Amino acid sequence: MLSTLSRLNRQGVLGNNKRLREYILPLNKRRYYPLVDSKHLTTKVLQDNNIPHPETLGLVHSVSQFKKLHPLLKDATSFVVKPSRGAMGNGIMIVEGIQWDEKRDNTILRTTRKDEISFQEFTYYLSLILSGVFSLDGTTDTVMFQQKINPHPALQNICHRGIADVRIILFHGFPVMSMMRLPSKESGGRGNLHQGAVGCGLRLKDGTITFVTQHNRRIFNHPDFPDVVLKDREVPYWESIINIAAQCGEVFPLAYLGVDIVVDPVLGPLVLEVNARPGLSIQIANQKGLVGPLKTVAALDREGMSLAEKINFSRNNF
Amino acid sequence: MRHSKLALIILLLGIPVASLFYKMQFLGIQVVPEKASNFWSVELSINKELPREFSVDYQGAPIMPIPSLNKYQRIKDLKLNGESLSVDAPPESKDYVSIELIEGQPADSVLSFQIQPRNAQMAQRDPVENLQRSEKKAYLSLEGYTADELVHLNKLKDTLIFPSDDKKTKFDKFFYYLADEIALKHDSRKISDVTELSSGSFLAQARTLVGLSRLSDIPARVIFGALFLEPKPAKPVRYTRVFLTEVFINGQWSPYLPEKRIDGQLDGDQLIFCRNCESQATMLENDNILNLRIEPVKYDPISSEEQLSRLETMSPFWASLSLHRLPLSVQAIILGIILVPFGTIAISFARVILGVETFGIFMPILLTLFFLETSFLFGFLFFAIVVLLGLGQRYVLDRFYLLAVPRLSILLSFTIIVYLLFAILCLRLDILTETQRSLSYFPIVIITVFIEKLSLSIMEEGPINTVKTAIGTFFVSIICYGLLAVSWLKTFFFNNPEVILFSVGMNMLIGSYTGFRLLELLRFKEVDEDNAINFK
Repeated sequence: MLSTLSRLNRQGVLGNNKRLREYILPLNKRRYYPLVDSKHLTTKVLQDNNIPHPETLGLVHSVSQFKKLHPLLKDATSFVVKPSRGAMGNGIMIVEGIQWDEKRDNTILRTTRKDEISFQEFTYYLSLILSGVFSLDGTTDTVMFQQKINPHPALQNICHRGIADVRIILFHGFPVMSMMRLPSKESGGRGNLHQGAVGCGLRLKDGTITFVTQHNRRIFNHPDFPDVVLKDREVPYWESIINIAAQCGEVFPLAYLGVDIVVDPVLGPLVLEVNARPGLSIQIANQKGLVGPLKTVAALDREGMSLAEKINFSRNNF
Repeated sequence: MRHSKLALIILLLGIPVASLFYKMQFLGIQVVPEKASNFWSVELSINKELPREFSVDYQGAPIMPIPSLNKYQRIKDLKLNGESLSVDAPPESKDYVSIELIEGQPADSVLSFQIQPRNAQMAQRDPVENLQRSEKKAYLSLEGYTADELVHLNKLKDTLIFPSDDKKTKFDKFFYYLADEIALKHDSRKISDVTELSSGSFLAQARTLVGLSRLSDIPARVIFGALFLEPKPAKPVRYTRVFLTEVFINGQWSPYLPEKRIDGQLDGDQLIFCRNCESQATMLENDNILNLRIEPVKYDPISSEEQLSRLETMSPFWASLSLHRLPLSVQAIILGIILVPFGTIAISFARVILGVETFGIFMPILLTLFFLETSFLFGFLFFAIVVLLGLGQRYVLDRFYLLAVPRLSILLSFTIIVYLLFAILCLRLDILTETQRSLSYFPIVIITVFIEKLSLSIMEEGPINTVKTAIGTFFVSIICYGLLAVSWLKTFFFNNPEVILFSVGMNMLIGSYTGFRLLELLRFKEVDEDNAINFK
């Protein structure tokens, strides 16, 4: 145990206590949390700063608005339902198709989780979101309908059902570590690592996969696609991805944050979520600790550095 | 900032410690008040069948040694063969001798009584000034020693002292010789063992010291008693029967036991049964003849009134701040929650240092309160049943697409129904009747909140992660239960509520910890520097 402890310290692995005490609590001001905890506020910031993100189709704040669902969604063939204040991908439902019926109760929706659900089941789910079942602090919530992102062909054959996303950790606007999360059968098509999604460490320099992990252990292939070689596979649009992530570092007033980006074959990279308390499993996926890069950035004379300079520094040093 | 935090932590930890120290050392207030009934139950019996070799030594009927009352001891429930003997008020006798011999008692007599060894404050006795002539003669008599023993004793005496030494110096030399050179060995019963083999039983050593004293014209006698080695409650009974030497120097009797370095002063750890008992000593030493059994009597917490009146006499200031002033109903509530701050230390430790995941932060302490409210067995069984039923009905209710608040309300109704059924079942089976009385509304609320969190977690995190978190929650609440169920701690916190500051200080200390959580060592085990080198 002591040897593991000294190895992890030498390796610069960041523990939860240190993450909270030295980075999140002193550097991320509490008053800015709503900007990232509420997805529709995040969307607003992204929109105001012209950072690409999935389009919001509409918001539902109360049960009484359920009758407006038809006019709101009638043009969408597929969309994503999200609790505005949800965390860790909780409460997200992906609707892949909807057959409207004159009798509302006969309307059928096709989702990624269950093949078909009735309209009654659908509105029940929305009411769960509104009552705050999925919200960070259990308070009442807002339902967000978002444009559905399609998987990029380069990543489609390594994801079970859902969509791969890239998580980039930023510190004072510098990208310090990145990984890609691949949904698996075990995770139910979701990108949550603790539910069994596959984490891939990415080189900041070129966005290629370095290591593959699942359940905090190293593996070599995606368990659902054992024949596909993941190592050195390149994430499409890497230049754009790292650029967009760094832009988020400029517009969100949080020193330590995680940016989740998905790649749509048509729309390109889009910011899905910004997180004020990004997890630490990224270190396992990259087989290296965060403390080193964080300290390097903290010690830098960052004054007057442009976005491009920050990105270049990170790509050359981390 | 860092210095001010450190100073604050030291202050928070220091204030309770300083306050306790002040109360104990300067005001003489007990931090955990004990009821005066800290008695030890003592039972003496004399075996009917006296072994032949002792029956020869012993003349007449067996003697039952009864400790007589003196003003430094409290004895109650004195019984001889099950019949109560009257306990008289402490006599104002100047004589410290605490033995009354009842002659002619039947050999199978059993004497039982309760005594307070710790409370027996053996103060220095009033000086006797002078012994009566007959007494002096008896205490200088060497009749109990054989010629051979006297030879050994005389030889030893001559090597240890100068004839010119005064009595005190002579006795001190004898005492320190035995204390330093002679080892305790229970089967070395002869005086020659002491003088030649440097080992002896308590009796052999006492007889040696008495013999040496009498040879030097110092009145001395053997006293028999019990020595409590650790007279504390809740510890295994540890006592040993001992023979001490009492000598009359400078106008007073003083007890000595070289083995335990008792020199002149007894404390509450010694219970004296009989003095001047050389003639019965061999019998008293033998466990087959004289059976001695000593057990502590349960400690009871002190009543509020009693403690308050004690405090009033010791320190009116502390008495004015005491929680004992509150009405009893309020005191009962405070006793229920006074240890919660202490339990939070365990929660913080489990989460921050160990890294155990729990449902919410205070769910473990709520569960602990639930177990404490109901008793652990009842609480645990009920908890298990309600959790299973709650989960089951949750899936049933899911079919009806009910909104969250009414669904939670139905869940609450179900919980109460199960609670009632469980209570009736316990009554019918005639089990856990004691806890039956402790059913209250509080546990139902706790359990309902828990079910809601548990079922949501199953939905969101999947059964495996939920079970992990549930185990973590149980683990922490059981640790808290272990702490909060200690009645001693409860009394301690109730009587010294300033100790709550200590838990604030401890939480600040734990909150400042930035190292790895223990379980993170497992989580990050795979991060390997060799891989990182390959990576570069």
